Amino acid sequence: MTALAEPTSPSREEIRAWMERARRRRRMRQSGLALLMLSPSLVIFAVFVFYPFFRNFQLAFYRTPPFPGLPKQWAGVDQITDVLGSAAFRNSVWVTVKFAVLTVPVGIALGLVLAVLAHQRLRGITVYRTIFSSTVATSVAVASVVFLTLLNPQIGLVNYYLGREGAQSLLQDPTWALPMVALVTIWQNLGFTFILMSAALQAIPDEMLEAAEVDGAGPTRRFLRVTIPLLSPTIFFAFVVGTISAWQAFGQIDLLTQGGPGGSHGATNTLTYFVFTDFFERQNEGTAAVLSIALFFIVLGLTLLQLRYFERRVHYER
Amino acid sequence: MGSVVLEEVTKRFGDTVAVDDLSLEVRDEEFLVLVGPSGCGKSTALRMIAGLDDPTDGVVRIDGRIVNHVEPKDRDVAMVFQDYALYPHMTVRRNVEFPLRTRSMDRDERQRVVTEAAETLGLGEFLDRKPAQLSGGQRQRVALARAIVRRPEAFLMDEPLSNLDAKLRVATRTELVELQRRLGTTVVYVTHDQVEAMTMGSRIAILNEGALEQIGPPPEIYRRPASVFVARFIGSPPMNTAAGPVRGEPGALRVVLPGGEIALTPHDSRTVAGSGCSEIVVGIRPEHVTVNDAKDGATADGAAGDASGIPASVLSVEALGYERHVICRLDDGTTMIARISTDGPEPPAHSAVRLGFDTARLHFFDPATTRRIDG
Ligand SMILES: Nc1ncnc2c1ncn2[C@@H]1O[C@H](COP(=O)(O)OP(=O)(O)OP(=O)(O)O)[C@@H](O)[C@H]1O
Ligand SMILES: [Mg+2]
Repeated sequence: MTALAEPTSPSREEIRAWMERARRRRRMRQSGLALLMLSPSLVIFAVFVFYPFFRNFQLAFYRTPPFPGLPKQWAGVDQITDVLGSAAFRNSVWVTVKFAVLTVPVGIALGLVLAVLAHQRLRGITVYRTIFSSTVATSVAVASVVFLTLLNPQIGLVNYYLGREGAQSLLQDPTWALPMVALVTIWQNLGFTFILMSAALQAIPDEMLEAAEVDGAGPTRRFLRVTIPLLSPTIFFAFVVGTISAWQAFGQIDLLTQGGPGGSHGATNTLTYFVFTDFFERQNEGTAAVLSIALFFIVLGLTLLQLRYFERRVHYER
Repeated sequence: MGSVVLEEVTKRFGDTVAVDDLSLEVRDEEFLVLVGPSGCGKSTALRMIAGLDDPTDGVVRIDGRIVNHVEPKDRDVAMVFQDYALYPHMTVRRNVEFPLRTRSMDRDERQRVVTEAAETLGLGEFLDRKPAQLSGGQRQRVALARAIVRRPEAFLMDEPLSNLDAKLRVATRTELVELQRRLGTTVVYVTHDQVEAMTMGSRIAILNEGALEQIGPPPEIYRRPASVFVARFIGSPPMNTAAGPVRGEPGALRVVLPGGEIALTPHDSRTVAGSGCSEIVVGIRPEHVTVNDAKDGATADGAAGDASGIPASVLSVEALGYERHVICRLDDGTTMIARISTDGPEPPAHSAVRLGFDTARLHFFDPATTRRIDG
């Protein structure tokens, strides 16, 4: 034993160096492997996300000619300032802001109320749970067609009950068009919000609420002081996701109002819809590119703002 | 402060009877421990006192008042849950304050009460932390502080020590009892740990399958267990029990056990004869059993013993340092445990021994009802 150990016994520094070298080798091997495994998705992202994303910036600097086939003209920032300064752009941003304000808080509040109502141990409560979450299984198209029928000026129930059969649909009314689109959106999103809130409610230990009950808190106090704070991460999440999806809403607008009434200054011409019409109807790639870049930065900015100012007030467990 | 009374209370969950016709009185300023094996209905009983579960049948009184239809928040009891149920989004101060905020108490008063409770429980430096930043023992203190600020009629505690490590549990046991004395509050304390029950309770109520087996002060429960269940539940290692027919004259009865007989004292003979049982369950605590050499009758710890006694074989010996438990088996497979001192040689495993019983310390139970037979 002594013969073996004595002459070769390495110093502490040597051992440390070996381990360091081994660690570095392992890390290299691991990052090579990681790159290899990521490569398929990187290719897909590059083709369908990164390339269009950067190409879009390029498009924004060229004016699209009035007739196809003519050469594109370098416009520099002129086109960008033109578009961002236009009344139509301002209108669409304002419409989208109103749309988000109408849909997101109400949608979350409704989802929460339904989740609380369905969070009871009652006979047959699963039937209600199923009904409340059913809109998840409904596509935007189906939801829109259902409401289109309800709001139809001749055969729709809405006009019938409002006593205005034959008069124009609420979707054609400049005041009511946006609230109606918002209503459909809320309805469509309700299932998702409901499931989200129900899951979060179920994660709150019964004991926590029972402790509050024994401590003398009535139902309102328990809800405001215990349930809501414990749900706050979920509410926050719903808020961020809801806001982003409001800025990206498209299907229901296309099916219900096509951005109208009011053409390119339409009462429901949200920014996403504006991008769509600019590109596919007016075929103006240049301005559409400017609009979509604006949309990107608005959503990015809003999300950062929300993360920064709300997340701090949100309770995260552990 | 007040008394808590359950009168013929039953609780069913569908087909399961969680609590079965339970009558119980917790006296004012008493520390009553509800003890029993897992699933025997302890928590359910406690939850009915708190109002978190409604009795299927029977009456619950707090301080003399029937509270069956009183909301938990109006019952004026405080509860400490097994997992403490602290509010994770509130600081320790907010947690402790919570019950005070629900009643209208002005700020200064609230501040004073919280500070006092924090001092009592040594929480001063943690007041601004969140529960997630505390150790298990500290959380348990916060839960206690939240309970004591209320000055309730009664404290209800559901296994509050079960999440603590063994050492902290022992220390907290004493502190809790001390705290209760100081505050002079009625406490209903649930545990499945018989050591906690024996050391903390001024009285112990033992539950089995939802029904009350016995209630009384710890020494009495140990000395005079009312049923085979209590006899075997309280005490560690548990009391040895064996069933056998009764023989002999009324004044000098013997109980026939596998491999031998036990002669009863004249007093016991009269008691057993009075019960009219022809077969009987004999119980004896491990400390009243001696392990004797099969041939010369010397006891395992060296003293001279007797060569009579019941033959048995040694299964194993558990040496705990301060005492030893000799686990033996009778001819018919009945297990008997003897608790002996650490003096003398260890009886080797599988060796044949004779078990001697201190016949003045026998307990008798009716095999049909499993209840105690008393003179
Ligand atoms: N909400 C419930 N629904 C159905 N059965 C229940 C409910 N609560 C308790 N039980 C049943 O009632 C019985 C008593 O339960 P309880 O919680 O009171 O036991 P325990 O004595 O507190 O046990 P442990 O020591 O394990 O906490 C058990 O059989 C349990 O399964
Ligand atoms: Mg329990």
